[in-house]
Amino acid sequence: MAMNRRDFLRTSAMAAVASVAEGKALASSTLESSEVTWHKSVCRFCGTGCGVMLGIRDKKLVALRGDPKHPTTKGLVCAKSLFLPKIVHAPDRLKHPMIRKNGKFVQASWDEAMKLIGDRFADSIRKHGPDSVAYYGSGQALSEESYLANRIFKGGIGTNNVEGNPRLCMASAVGGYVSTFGKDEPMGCYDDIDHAKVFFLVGSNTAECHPVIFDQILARKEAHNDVLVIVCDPRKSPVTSIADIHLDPVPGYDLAVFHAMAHVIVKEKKYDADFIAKQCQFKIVENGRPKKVDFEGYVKFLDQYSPEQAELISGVPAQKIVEAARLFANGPTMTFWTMGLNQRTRGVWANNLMHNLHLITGQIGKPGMTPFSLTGQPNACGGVRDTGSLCHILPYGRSVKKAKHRAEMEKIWGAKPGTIKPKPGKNTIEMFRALGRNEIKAMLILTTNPGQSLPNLTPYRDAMGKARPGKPFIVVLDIFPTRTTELADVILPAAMWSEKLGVFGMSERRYQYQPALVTPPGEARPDLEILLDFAGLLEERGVIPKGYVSSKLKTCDDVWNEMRHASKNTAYDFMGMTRDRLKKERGIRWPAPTIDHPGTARRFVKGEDPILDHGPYADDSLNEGDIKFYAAKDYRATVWLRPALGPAEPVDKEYPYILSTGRVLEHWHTGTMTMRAPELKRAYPEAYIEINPVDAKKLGLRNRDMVRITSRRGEALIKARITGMPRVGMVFVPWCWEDTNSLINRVTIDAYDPGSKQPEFKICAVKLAKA
Amino acid sequence: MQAQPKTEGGILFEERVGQETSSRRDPRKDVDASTKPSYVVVGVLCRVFPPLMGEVCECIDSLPGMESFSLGERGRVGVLIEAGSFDQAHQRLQEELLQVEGVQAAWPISTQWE
Ligand code: SF4
Repeated sequence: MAMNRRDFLRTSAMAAVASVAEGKALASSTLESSEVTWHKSVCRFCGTGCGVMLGIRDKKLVALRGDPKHPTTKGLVCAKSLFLPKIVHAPDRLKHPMIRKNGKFVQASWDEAMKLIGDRFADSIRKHGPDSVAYYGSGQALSEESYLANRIFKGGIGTNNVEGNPRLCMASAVGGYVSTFGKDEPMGCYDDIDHAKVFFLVGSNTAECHPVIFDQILARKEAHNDVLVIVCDPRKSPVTSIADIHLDPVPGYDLAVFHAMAHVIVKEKKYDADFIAKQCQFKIVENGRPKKVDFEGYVKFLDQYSPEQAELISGVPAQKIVEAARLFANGPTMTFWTMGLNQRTRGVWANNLMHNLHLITGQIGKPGMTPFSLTGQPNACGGVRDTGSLCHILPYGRSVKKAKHRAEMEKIWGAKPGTIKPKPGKNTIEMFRALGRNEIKAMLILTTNPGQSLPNLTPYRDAMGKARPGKPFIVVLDIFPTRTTELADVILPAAMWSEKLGVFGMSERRYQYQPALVTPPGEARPDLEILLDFAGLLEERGVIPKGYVSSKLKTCDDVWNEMRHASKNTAYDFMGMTRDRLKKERGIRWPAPTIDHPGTARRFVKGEDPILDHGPYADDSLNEGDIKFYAAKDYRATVWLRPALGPAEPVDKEYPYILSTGRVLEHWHTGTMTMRAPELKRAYPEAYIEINPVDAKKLGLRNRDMVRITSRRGEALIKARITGMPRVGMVFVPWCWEDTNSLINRVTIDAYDPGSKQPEFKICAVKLAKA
Repeated sequence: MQAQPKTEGGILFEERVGQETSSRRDPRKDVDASTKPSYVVVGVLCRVFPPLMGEVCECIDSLPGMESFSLGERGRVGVLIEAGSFDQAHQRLQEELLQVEGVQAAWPISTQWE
């Protein structure tokens, strides 16, 4: 009997692989067993958003496979998703509410914990005003959860102190898209990979952070000899193994390289004059104000960034810059980037320069031609960016600064006119600083781990956890104990992934539905239910209007329906994405304004983007294939003339090395989930610092020596790994380890981009010594 | 050098902040049966350097708990990993399959356990 069962499992596994290889759906007769039911879902790690099928038997997860019917990921999944079921069932899941009493956590009932939370928030709002409370959310929360939290805080309580961890990872990409095109989010999609001939991978370790996307690039390169890859990264990550050209600028000095590429494109007349004339405008900031210039002004600006000059600034050989520029211009080119560009004090500018290259060569809105910012979290896009769950924005492209937008959202939410404040709330860093000054008196933290992930961590850990008179009240919802739950006053156990239903919106604007399939452990509950209860408690205590949430929203489906309506007639319009459709289909890319609309592959293109056909942005004068940047001022995308300034903290004699942080394949973010799988933990059992052999020799360091890494803010003690991966003068530390010695964010800098408010995790000055 | 954080009842606390937990339960006693399988089978899609297809398959078949199967396509091969635990299956994937010369990538498409 056992043998038969095992033969069946073997056959199933082989058939699943064959079906993915052939790009066909599985024949149900081959695989279905009466005991196991299969359900379509989505991986909850990175923004690639791989489609998965989950096998359930006796209400338990017993199998996971890639979904070959998924239109973009086509059945592939990486090793992280393989361990998701195991992580769900990990033994140390949080199972009961806990309240800190006399410095110790004690188990509490839901009623007791929620009553305490309601009392403390209401008390703070009554005594100190709405801005004395704050919400810090996550790109891992479901879209409905982020939307509801935003609704409660901005439209109910009346504070814009709503932030989330995408401020730490995606804010500069948002700033780049908005300042160039007028609206956030990529215009292209993953289908473009199948058409591109040049891939420009910038500050992105795609191989380890978005492995399934990397495989698609690799597959395309292997199948076509003329597909070429340019990598721009100061560190040799696994991505550089497929690079035809590797540009390795000194960290923080790559803006000169991008301008120099534009310089070559212009000098060699490889630009698209017609596209520029019809679709672009050029701007420079002078005396703090944007000023229009003409194309000649742009050309003149680029004169200071010849390849030779860029070599002096960045260390990248001029000839390589010339070759990269020529390849880029030949195209079709698809550019991918992630944190190497975003986590910078010049993050928005770096993003602008990516768009510049695409705009001047007219490589946008056509198959295989697009700038594309990849997201590290599964729902930074759909959950936080699109729902407007940051301190300065409102759902679906609206801004708190615009009276019309505030009025629209107040009407949709049923909020009293004037409740939404016109002034942005505190951005993440300022929010935690205000917490340290006891100005913010109560904070709700949901599905994220700022006690490990904030830069310059020590003062912010103190802000959350250090006992002092008037210490703020901290509530943390999570699935596991973390470096943040240890600082909380109340810990609420949350359901995770397949235990709750809702929508994830991944990098290419695709919204995907995740069903609830298994029961959460102990007393853990879906975050959305907890937020609904929280709103009810605030209604009861009179700090938000009676019925503001409770009379309208009772279920996750109610929230989704309101979200659809909030998107209507905006550039995001997804009115056509009903729950029923999402349950059946493998995700839909917005805009999808009507129930029969299939979703949009490329935005801003007549014939593809329905926003150009109906609603406020419709334009019947356009022909099929014409591009219109309908959200941009004068309908023209902006080519920005940004100065190539360096990082906030350049190296000096005292702190001569550049520290950069990042990720490894097996671990995800702070390791809260992936460290629960011993197999993944063993892959990287302890923290390491990558040091170039040239530097190691100078410092007298050998492999596995303990290294003291010191910045102006703090220090970490981590074992050396001597490798040629980082360039000379640079060191690299993944940030997934949580033990105190390895907390590399005690060393990183909290200086942030003045536009996006995103901190410069990627660059700070450190000194190194053998410990 | 600061002290290593202690863990107690699954909740970390840091001496510097001076907080601790009273949770004395051993959460590991609460292990769900579904996380402790006795048999795990993983179907893997491997991307292989095409000139080395033959050698790669031979090498995979010589490894314990692994079996290659043809997908009728140059550059890709299927592999079945059988193991007594997730741990062993992952170890075989990472430390054996991915180390075979010519294997460029390995995607664990399907995992089932009992
Ligand atoms: S590539 Fe990202 S979304 Fe896909 S399986 Fe891996 S972690 Fe999950």
